[in-house]
Formats: sequence, C-alpha cells, structure tokens
Amino acid sequence: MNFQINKDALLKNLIIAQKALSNKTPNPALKGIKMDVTEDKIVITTSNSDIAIKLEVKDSSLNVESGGSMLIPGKYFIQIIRKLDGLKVSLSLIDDNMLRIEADRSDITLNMMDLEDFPELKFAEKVKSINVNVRLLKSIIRQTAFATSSIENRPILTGVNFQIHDNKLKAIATDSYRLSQKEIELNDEYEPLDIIIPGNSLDELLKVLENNNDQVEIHFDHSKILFKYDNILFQSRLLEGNYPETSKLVPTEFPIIIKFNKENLATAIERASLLSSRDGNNAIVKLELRKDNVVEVTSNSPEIGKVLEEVYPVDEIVGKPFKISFSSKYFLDALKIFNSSEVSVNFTGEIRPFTIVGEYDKDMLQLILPVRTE
Amino acid sequence: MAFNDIVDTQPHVVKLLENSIKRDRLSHAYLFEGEPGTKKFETALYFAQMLLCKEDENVPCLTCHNCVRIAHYTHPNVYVVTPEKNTIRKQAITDLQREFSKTSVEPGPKIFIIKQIELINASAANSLLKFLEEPHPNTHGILTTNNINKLLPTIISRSQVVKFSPTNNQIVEKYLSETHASLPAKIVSHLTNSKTEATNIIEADYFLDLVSYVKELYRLILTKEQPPLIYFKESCSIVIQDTKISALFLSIMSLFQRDLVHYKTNNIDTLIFKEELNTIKQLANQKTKEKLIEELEHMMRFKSRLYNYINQRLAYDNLLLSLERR
Repeated sequence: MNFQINKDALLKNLIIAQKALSNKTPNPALKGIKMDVTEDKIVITTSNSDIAIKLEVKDSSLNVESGGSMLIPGKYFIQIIRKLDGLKVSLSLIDDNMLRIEADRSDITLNMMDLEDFPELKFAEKVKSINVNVRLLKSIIRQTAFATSSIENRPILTGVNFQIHDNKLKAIATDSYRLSQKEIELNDEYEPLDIIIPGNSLDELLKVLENNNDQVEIHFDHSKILFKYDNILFQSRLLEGNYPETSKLVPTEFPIIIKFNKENLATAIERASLLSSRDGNNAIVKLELRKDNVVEVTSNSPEIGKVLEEVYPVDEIVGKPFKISFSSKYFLDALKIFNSSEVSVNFTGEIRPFTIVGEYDKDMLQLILPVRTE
Repeated sequence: MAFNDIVDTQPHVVKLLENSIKRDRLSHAYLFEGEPGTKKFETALYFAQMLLCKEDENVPCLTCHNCVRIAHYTHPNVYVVTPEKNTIRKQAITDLQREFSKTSVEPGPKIFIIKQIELINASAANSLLKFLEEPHPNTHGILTTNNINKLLPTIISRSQVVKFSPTNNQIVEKYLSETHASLPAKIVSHLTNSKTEATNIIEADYFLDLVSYVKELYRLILTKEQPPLIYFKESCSIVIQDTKISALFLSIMSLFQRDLVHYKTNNIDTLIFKEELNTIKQLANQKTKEKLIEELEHMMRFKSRLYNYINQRLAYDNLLLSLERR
C-alpha cells in the first residue's frame, strides 16, 4: 500500500472517525483505525462496538500508487497527523506490518495491528430510507436525549425510543421521573417501527453532524440504525427489549394552566434552587399559586435559609390555588430546550405529573413528576 | 488449541452440545462443572465456535474468521468474564448486563462466558440472577466452576448443568513420571488434572522443599523431638510469603492427612506417601478416625479462607497445635 494525500483532508476525516474509537475495550483491535485503500478512494472504519463510523475519502489530492488494507493504532496515528508539518503526507506499508509516514522533513514508522481481529462490520443501506434535515434531526436528539436515564439499572431507559407510524416519527426519552417527547412529520409514509437507540450513541452523532440544511438518510433494521450524511456512515447498535408504554402517563385533562415568560420562570427557579441542602442537582423547589393569582416559587432549608420568588403569570390563569414541589434540575432542563419565549405549565393535581408546552414547540411535550414533600 | 483433547476426554459433553444445536434446543445458560484441568473453558470457547462458525458443518472449522477471533478472544459477540483478585465483582456483572442489553455487533447469537463462577460475590450474584432470569432471545451464557457446591442454588437451578468427568489422574501421573520421581508425580497428579498445570507445579523450585517440610512436620508430630510449631517457624518461612505457595503447601499436607485417614480405614493400597508408611502407621494408631477427619476438615477450611485476608501465621499456629493434640 502506498499513497499520498493532503494532510488536512485526511485529518478532518480522522477526527470524525475518532468519535468511534474506544479507549477502554476488551478487544484491543477496536483501538485501531481500519483503512482500506483502493484506486480512487480511502475507506476509514472505526468502531467501539456501540457505534461504528465509516468514511469514504475521495479527495482531489489523493494519489494512490498501490492499494491495500491495514489496521493502524488510532491514538498515535491521529496525534502524528495532527502535529505534522507540510501540506502533503505520504503513507506506505513496509515489511507488511509497519506504516511509514512521510511529510515535509518527518519520517515516522508505526507498527500496525492485526487486521484479523477487527470486527466484520456491515453498513447495510436499505432500499427505503427516511430523509431528514440535519437541523431537524439534531433538534430531535437535543430535545430528547437529555431525559434518558444515566443509571444502568434499567438499560432500556438509557435509550431514546423512535416510533414511526405512517408519516409520523415520535421520539421519546424518559428516566421514569420525567419524559420528553417530540413528534415530527415525515415527507413520506413508512412501515411501522419501534426501536430504542442508546442515548450515548445519539450524543456522539450530534458531534459528527454539522449545522447545515443537508439531508441525513436514516436506514434501520431490527438490530441497528445507520445514519448516512455527507461521506459519513454512522451506525449504532440498538437496545434490546420493549420500551415502556408512555402514552398513558400523559394526563389528558388539565384543570390548572399557567402561562409564564420562560426566562422569568427559569431565573426564579434557579435562584430558589441555590439554597438547598441537597447538592445542586437535586434541589427541590415548591411552586404555589396564590389566591391573588401570583405564583410563588420557594425553597426552604432550615439550616441554610429560605428563598421566596414571586413570578407573575403572563396570561389569565385557569384554575384554583394549589401547591406542588418538583426537582429544579428537571424543570430547568426542560425549559432550556424550548424555543418559545412563553411556556404553559399544565397541572392536574398536587401529586400528579404536570406537562410543559410551548406555543412555538407544538410538536414537543415535557412531562415531569412532582415530589412528595409533606 | 487442542480441541481433539476435548472430544477425547469429554465425549459426552461434546455430544450433548452437538445434539442441542442439532435439535435447536439450546439452553440460555449452561453451567460447566468439573475438576480443574477438565478443559471447561476450552469447551466453552469450542461451543461458541460451534454456534458462530461460518461453515455449515456441525463441527467448527477453526479456520474461518469467526473461529479464529473467538480463539483470540476478539470476537465482538463473545464476552468473557474472568475473576479479578479471586472475586467476580458487581461491576463486572453490570458491564456484562450493559453489553447484553444491546443488539449484537455482528450477525449471529451472543455468548457470554463467566469463568470460575464460584468466586462471585454476593451482590454480583444477585445482579447475575436477575440477568439469568430474564433471558434475551439469541443469547447464551456459559458459567464454569470447579466447585458446584459453593454456588447459590438459585444459580444452579437457572442453568443447565453439564458435568465434566474427571480425567483419570493416572494419565497425569504417568505423564509426569516419565521425567520426574514417582512420589512428586503422584502428589501432583492428585492436585490437578491438567498436564500443563501439573508440569508448572512440579517444576517450581520450591515444590520438593514443601513436600519434605510436610514429611518432617508429621514426623515431629509423632516423635516430639521438637515442637512442630517451632520447626515450622524456623524452616518454613517460604510458605507464608506467598498465598499461592501456602495453598500448595496445605494441599500437600491434606494429602498426607488423607493418607492417615485411608490407613485408618484400611485402604493401604491408595496411600500416596508409601515411603512414610511407618510414620503413617504410628500416627494413625494414636488418633481416632473422627479426630483425623476433623483435622483434615480443619486444613480444607483453612485453605478455602486463604484468600480472605486472614492472618496466616496465626492460622498455621492454630492448625499445627490442633495436629499435636491427641
């Protein structure tokens, strides 16, 4: 194998491939970058068994003298390429097990890994794929993945549930204390589908996708999902099992509806959560609707102090005075992802889950379970 | 790897596994139980190869990409858990669960192998139970153990027990006596069934010393020329330095004790330390059968606690003092 390529073009692709490199793995072969060189392109493959990335590099600067395949120790290779001087880098295989890297005045040889041990990854593209705008896909992931569980007790909750019915895609994430749901319309009708994608995989996907208006093709079967974007194939394993039925969790009638300015409400809750004896992430705050139609956000920890915040609802209030307590973190997390400047919080009762919806986020629903304090 | 060995020494196990594949009656968990050296782990890998081999034959080809990677422990669908520092911790089982909550990386069934399952600690065992209770389709587990009696009954009841027949220790003895003296060969053949392990033991430079310490200790217990405890403190410092050596020393000692019991029950033919017949005879006549068995149990108990951070010096004092008593 012997070829030359523009250094920056190679580096740009390697940095994407790095997302699927694993540092901690029982299989050392997964620390490697697989490179297949053919006449007119390089194919770079990496995998950490959860996700796998395959890149096709067809740069105009690519000049292949002879093709071949090899497994390069990922960490060292990327560091070397990053630090090299010069525009062009020349890679050649010597003695069958060493890679010679030449650029400018550097001459580096790197021992190769055993290609035999690299998994056989199949990036199967299906005939029918779902096409989604990059921005839209990114917003789906951002608005749901945060609500996945980080505790591994119920592995299934560490993923985001994607359901497709006719021409609707519904993404749901929950850690059993809160739920985030987003629904979008697709431009075509598809076979029904119900899969669970690991939240971590989606986080990595976010880093790979750029902010533009390109289309992402989504191919899936029952064991994996494949995102095709630009020259990148990004594949993830799925979580096995049945996702809990969530549709019954969402209350249908809301006797109390309060509309807030998002910023005012968020800062009030943030301040109230400051004085909490629990550590910052678990602060519990209390929200009370007074008779004079002003909302009070309070938190009280006897050993530290007391906060009282008054928040004026932006609109007419529907409902009677009442009190409810909840985790400030969950509430703030949910508020953060709204695009609307005004949100309605819909309550059913003091110990019943409540939802947050926004005028400009019609397709999204946030549900939070309250905390029993008394 | 010598897979022919497995077929030779454990024909019924191979048959059972082959049949369960043929009839499509795979269990979601197997418990491979048998003495050390009966090739349980190798059989587990062999089984994984049977399931994942790309050739359609019933016997794995051992040359396709899948077979080769299983032998290298690099196949993504085969997950092996080995005890660390003589325990299997909760974290290891949690990692296993996380791995198996996801779909397989490559097509085909997923297989996990847990070595020496008897070393699992309580909280890890509970996690594992939950995992075994809710089997995923197309997932197969293989647990291996040397001592099925140490396992939770709930783990045994959740898996199909596959018993490995002990390989005849005469094979090992014969193999060793080609190059070594007969007494050491005989002792080692009672300690393990694996030829490689046996060679390792017999070729350790301290092995013969340990054997002579044991003989001398028993001689002193009989003759009372010197208290055995003092002899042990003066000469046997090498024993307490390393838990491994200590375990070996105790094993040799229990073999000697076993001889006493055998003598007492008139099984003179099975004696290992035949050269020490005189000592054995007199010692055995001094004590009752119950007392001898009790002493043997004391040794076994001590040995099983060796890895539990006990104070070895005190434990040896305790043991030797109890041996001195009539």
